[in-house]
Amino acid sequence: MDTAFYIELLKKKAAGQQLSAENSALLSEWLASDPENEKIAGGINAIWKGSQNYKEDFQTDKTKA
Amino acid sequence: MSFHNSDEGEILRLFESEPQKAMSVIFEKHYDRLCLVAIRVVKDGTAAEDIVQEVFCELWKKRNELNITSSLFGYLKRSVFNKSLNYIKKKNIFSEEEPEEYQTISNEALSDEVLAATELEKAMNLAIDNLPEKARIPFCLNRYEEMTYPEIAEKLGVSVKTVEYQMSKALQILRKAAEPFLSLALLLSNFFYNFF
Repeated sequence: MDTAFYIELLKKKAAGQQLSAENSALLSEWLASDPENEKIAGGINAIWKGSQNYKEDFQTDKTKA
Repeated sequence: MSFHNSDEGEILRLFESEPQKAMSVIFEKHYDRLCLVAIRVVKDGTAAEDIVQEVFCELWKKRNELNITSSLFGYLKRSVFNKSLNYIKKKNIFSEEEPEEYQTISNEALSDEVLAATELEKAMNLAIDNLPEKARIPFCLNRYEEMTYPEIAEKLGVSVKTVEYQMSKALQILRKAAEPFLSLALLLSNFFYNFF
C-alpha cells in the first residue's frame, strides 16, 4: 500500500469514522513501522481537527434575503 | 405550533396549506447551515448568500411541483452545493496557469496571527483561507463533503491526477501551518490510537 492509502485512513479516523478491523490493523502496523509515519499522522490529525469548524463563524445577513 | 421543532413531514404538509409560512420555517431552520455549505466552496460570503437565496427562490417557484422523497435539507443542500460548484466553474480557476511554486503564508505572518489566536483552529482557518483556490476547493470538497478524489475530479471537470496534486499541495501547506501544534497533535494522535 502507498502512503496515500494510509492518509485516507488517517483522514477517516480523524473525522470520527470507524475503520474496518483490517484497515485498523494495517494502519497500526504502518504507524509502528516508521517514526516518520507518526509525524504524517500527527499532521493529518492536526489539519482535520483544526479545520472542523472552518467558516462556522460566518455571520449571515437574513435581513438582506 | 413551534415551527422550530417541526419535523420535515410537518413542514412539507404546511407547504400545501400555508406555503408562505412553510417557506419562513424552512428559511429560519436551514438558511445558516446552507450558507455554510456554500461558503466552504465559494469562500465569498456575499456569493454564498446569493446562492442560497437563489435556491430558496427556486424552491418557492417550484413549490407546487415539489416531490421530495428523502430529506428536505438534503435536497436544499444538494441544490446549494451544485450551484456553488457552478459558480466556481465559471471562474475557470482550474484553467489558470499553474504557479511555479505555491505561496505559503510566511512563518512570521502566521506567528503574528497565531500569537493573537494561539489556537490550532484559528491557524487552520487562516491557512485554508489563504490556500490557492485550486487547492482550497478540492480540500473543502474532500474535507467537508467527504467526496473522493474521482468524485471531486468529475464535479470540477478536471483529472483525478489534478485533484491528487492539488490535495497534496493543500495538505503540505496546511501541515506547515499546523507545525507549531504538531507536538500537541502527535500527543492527541497517540492517545487516539492507543485508546480507540
